Amino acid sequence: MLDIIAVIIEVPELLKRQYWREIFIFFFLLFFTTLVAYLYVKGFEIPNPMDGLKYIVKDLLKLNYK
Amino acid sequence: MFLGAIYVMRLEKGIISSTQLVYLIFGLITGSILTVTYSFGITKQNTWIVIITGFVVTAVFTTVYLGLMKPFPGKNLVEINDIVYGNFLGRVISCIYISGFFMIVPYNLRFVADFMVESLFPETPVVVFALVFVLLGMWAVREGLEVIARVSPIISVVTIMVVFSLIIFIIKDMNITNLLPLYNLTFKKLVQGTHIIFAIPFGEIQILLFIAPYVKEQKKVKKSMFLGLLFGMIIVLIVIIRNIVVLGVLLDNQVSATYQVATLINVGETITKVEVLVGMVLLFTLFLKVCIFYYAIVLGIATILKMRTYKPIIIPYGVISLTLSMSLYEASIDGGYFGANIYPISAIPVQVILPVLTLIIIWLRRFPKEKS
Repeated sequence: MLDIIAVIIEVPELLKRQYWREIFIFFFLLFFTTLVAYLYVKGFEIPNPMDGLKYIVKDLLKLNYK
Repeated sequence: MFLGAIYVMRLEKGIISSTQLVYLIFGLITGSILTVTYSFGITKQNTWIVIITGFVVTAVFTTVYLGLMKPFPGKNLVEINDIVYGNFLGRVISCIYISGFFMIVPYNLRFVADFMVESLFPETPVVVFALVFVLLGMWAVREGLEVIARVSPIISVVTIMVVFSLIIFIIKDMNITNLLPLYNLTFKKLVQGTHIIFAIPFGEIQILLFIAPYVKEQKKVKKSMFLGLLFGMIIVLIVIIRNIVVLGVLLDNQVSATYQVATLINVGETITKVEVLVGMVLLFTLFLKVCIFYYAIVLGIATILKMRTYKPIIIPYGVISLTLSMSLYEASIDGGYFGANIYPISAIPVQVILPVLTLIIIWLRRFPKEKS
């Protein structure tokens, strides 16, 4: 639903200026983020950058302070 | 080169003045007043020392960041990387920078939402505040840099007024002996505290590499950057000393010490419940901070992709930062641990190594000469 609003907000101006490349990027990113958000709402575990950083710093490099 | 210049002109038409840059930096730094809490657990009553050392370190690195900007007036960080490292490697390094900044917006969203839920609206779900905040951020970024810059003086003035009025209200509860014992700070704790202060409030001045190119008077950038940093530092220092002097030993088990101080205020049974003011100021300054980061990241991604306008990225980035902010961690205590122990280390490549490396390469290849 929100996606439709987003498309309504963004696309006309881009179409008017004929920015096809930008429209493509916009739809790609929008699809990707909506997918992630949808999976999160449905209760899937989303790979979390913070846990990744924690793993790298704490367990691989052992550089953390505490 | 010439094409690049056209891209910039189309990406951001707005021009801000150097005074607005001062206010922007001020808002950026005071936005983190509550996150300074992370170092309370480590350095306790000596946190103010750490703030000063952190400021000195940041001043050194600010000169590094300014050195990056100086040979390339009007170019933002991504374009500088493109010129210095060449097209492909420059993109890769810009991607590292962006990924370093990427998590700051979700993190701040979660921080402000957690704060609101814990202190002011205990029954409301966390996601509501984050959603409202990110929607406002989207709107502000869509309107462009000039709007964000124009709102910053108001926010700064309100912040200063609230900080000083809180001091006046609480002056009877102050106890100077809370600052003692003074020198029980071990070297390791000093280093960690300084690093936290450098990484979280002060080092984030690096994001100004995306905004400073659009300042009208390029020669005043240096002065206004240091001025903003200094004012921000002074306000943070005042707030920290006030918190220490009022709360004392209680300090290290508070989630947000500033808020706790405000709840203690009771002037003749009339002036009470001023903690709402703290919440308001936090909202204002964090809003400015989120806007600056949001804008810079969106602009950075748009420059990497060589887009002609940054607007298409705004909504996707808002959605993904909302999702990430909700799945970051279970409780705000985890966030405190991450901010104190993990984040400063993980920010080293972006905040220290890459800028210094770039500066060395700029020096070796003598860029200003080549350009002329």
